[in-house]
Amino acid sequence: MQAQKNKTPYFAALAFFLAGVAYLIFAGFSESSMYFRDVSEALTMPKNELRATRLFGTVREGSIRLDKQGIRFQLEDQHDKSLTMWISYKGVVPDAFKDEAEVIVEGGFEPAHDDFMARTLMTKCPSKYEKDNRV
Amino acid sequence: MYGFSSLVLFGAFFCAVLTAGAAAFACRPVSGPSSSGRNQTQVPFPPLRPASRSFLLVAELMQWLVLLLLTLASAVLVHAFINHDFSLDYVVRYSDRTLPSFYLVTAFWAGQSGSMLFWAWAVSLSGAVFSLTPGYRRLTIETRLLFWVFFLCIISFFLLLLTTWNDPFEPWTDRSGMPAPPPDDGFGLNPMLQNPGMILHPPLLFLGYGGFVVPGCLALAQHIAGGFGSRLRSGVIEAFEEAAWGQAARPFILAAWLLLTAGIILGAWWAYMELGWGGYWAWDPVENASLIPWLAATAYLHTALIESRRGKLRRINCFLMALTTISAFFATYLVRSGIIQSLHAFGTGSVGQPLLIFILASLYLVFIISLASQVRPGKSLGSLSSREGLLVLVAWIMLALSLIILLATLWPVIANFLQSLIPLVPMSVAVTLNDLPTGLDTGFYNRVCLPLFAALSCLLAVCPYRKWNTIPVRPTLRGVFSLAGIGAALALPLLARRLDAVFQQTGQYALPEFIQNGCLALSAHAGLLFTGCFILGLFPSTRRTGVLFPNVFRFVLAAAGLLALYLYRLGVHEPVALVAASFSLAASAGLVGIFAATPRMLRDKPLLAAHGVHIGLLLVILGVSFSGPYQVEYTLQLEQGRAVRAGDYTFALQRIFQGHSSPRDTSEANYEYLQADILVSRNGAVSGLLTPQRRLYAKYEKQSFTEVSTLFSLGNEVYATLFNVEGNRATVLIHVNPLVNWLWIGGTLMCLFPLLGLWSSRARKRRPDQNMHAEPETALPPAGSEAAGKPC
Repeated sequence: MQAQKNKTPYFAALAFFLAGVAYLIFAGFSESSMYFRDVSEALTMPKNELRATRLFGTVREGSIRLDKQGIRFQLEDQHDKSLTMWISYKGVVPDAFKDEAEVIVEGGFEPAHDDFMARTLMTKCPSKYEKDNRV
Repeated sequence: MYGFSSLVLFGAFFCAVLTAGAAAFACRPVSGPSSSGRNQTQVPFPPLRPASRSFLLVAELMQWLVLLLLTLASAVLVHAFINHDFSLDYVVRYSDRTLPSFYLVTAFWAGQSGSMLFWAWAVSLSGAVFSLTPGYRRLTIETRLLFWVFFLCIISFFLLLLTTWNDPFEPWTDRSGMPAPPPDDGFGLNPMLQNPGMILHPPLLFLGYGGFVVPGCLALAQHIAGGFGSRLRSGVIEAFEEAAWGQAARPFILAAWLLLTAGIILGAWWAYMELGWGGYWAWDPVENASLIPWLAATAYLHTALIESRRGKLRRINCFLMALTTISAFFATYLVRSGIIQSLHAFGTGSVGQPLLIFILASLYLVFIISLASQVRPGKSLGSLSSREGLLVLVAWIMLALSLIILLATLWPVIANFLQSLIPLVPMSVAVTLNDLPTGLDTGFYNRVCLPLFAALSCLLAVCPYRKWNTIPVRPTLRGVFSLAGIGAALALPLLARRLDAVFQQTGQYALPEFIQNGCLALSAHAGLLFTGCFILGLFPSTRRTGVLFPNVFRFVLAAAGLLALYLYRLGVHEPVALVAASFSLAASAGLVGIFAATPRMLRDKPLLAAHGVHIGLLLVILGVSFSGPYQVEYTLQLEQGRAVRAGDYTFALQRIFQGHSSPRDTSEANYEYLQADILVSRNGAVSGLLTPQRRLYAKYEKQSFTEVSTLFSLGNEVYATLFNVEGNRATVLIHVNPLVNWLWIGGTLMCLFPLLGLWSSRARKRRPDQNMHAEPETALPPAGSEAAGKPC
């Protein structure tokens, strides 16, 4: 009987706890979702549907343009190099950013701009486990 | 020579496999009366073959042989690096002739196969060291043999990877895969990895992962073997109970936790000082991978306390420790399989599939062993508000965090899998699946995980003051009102903010300011009332409710309430930051207060170690809760001779100049740099000189690398990254990171205090807990009796 009595508060607390965690996950999920796309996929979609998007691709050789605040460059599709998209980015450019670097950009299209406006620009990090970091 | 090294690894593999098989054979049940005289039908683990002692000796010797062979293979690889032997593919990829000798040695674990070899060596070393400890000798032969079965199976698996998919001794080949003459020079080690933080970070993680293998295997072994053995004493065979696995492997658990913590903190510090983006934790899959075992291990450390003090939760502890070990394998899988797109470039996935199969098989085995184990169930847990209950809550939070991080990290894979089901499901479901987001940004982790960390700081303000087992107290009217007061104090500002946000979103109404202010005033009033109740001691008698150090406890709660109000007035309106900061500060002060109130407790080293780690964690939570949401970022165009104002700070570019690293400086590779000297003043007073650089390394001429510069402060740390230089103008990214250094101070405390616990583990063994022995069930049954074979 004693064991039965002791367990009830635990089950109630667990239910509350799980409900709280579920709420946090739901709230986080609805506000922080991101759509991962390749350049080829992004090109086929209407611009107004590309808001919170993460694009993977390679920086097209010779396409990097620097200005005071940031950079513009063309992002090539990983599989089909003829498919490219102009990316604008304002902020600090990572160290490993260069022609033909594999990059990840997060952002979306804004009504006033033709370029994909990147909020973050990340290059593949020089990981310990990289198989081919220099070719 | 290197063919010989591959042979050495093969030899180690066969030794490990054969020994694991032999040890498993020795554990095989035999029919007929056993050597110990126990009846087979009555014992959970059948008697052993008479030769089991010899098998154990062989297993121990073979384990040393495996360690010797792994050490030999590692030495050959280090030798190849030091002598620039570019006939090895691995040496070409991760070193060059200009690399300083210190980094040449550390390049051993710079790549996938080398790090795998290092990990196998670390695991093997931890097993060998364990076999020398007194804790190991106090175990029964059955447990020891089973331990070696599990342990050598794991070693065999890693050696299998090293001899097949992941051989560090592969020769250098040309593009067609044919052996080629060695190149004159190697590719070099990436400059970003040439940093003391990054050099120590991976081996600390691997040693941590490796250290958890010993307790994980031992837990499973003892749960199968039962924990009872027989020995000959004065001509009579008698049964004895071996030390619990948690006690026998305690130094390993603490050391592994310490190393893993140090590895994670160092990794964060490296990211902060070297990557130049102003933060320290990007929730990248690789970072998350190391956090999952840490969280599982921390959950275990709390439930293990309940087992060692109260003899409860044995089965759960076995499961949690085995889960920690498996999550360390999973961390390796995430890093090496390439299943998740990450900022880090992963391997191409050659070892991913075998690792995944190994992890799933281990997980299945652990479930079966934990569920089927015949350990005697302990008493049921005490009340939820007792220390037992609160420790269980801590474990829930840790496990929830690890599960959330795991699922969020794997979300792209899960979403892809769900979307692949679209052709098989009805249209309505297919539409939903098609709209599923394929990823989660870092905001998700911050939104979900930070409140749980804040909850930990709240628990740390309460848990140390609760007795182990309390008498449930009937709720009084005063108590109900006080609880309602806390609820109101916490809920009203949140409600006001939420309503305001909703109104602003719809754009139709604005919440009148007087309602917002009214809510705040009410909540402040409720908070003060609640605090007052505690200060005046209006709650039921602390003796009845099981509160230890009642005055310190009242102080902590009062301080938390007042600090929250004070911080709110200072402009800290983020609820999570507010709760985390106020409770962190109050709980830290309380923990110091406990020791100040009773100085003799300072002699209790394990307690001191635990609370030292807790204070460290609270400081980490304080640092994280401020440096994230209250970070300020400025991108400044600076010109020589012209001061620029940003916030409270003024930045004056003094000079821009070029230079190169000193040839005598052997700590880093050769590089040229461009440096901007920026004088920083705050409200007219000079704060210091920032000297951010951009570096060009000899081996990486196409890229420049940032070298950040910081102005150390326990309040607001100014952090500068040089972005661009044109003539006498520089573009600089400035971050003002509030309280960030408390994160590093807390992290250091978390790494240092467990050493006290390690130091005192022997003393603790000699002083077993009184409560544990007070329980009648732990008394050893007489030999040969029906209960003699029942596991502990």
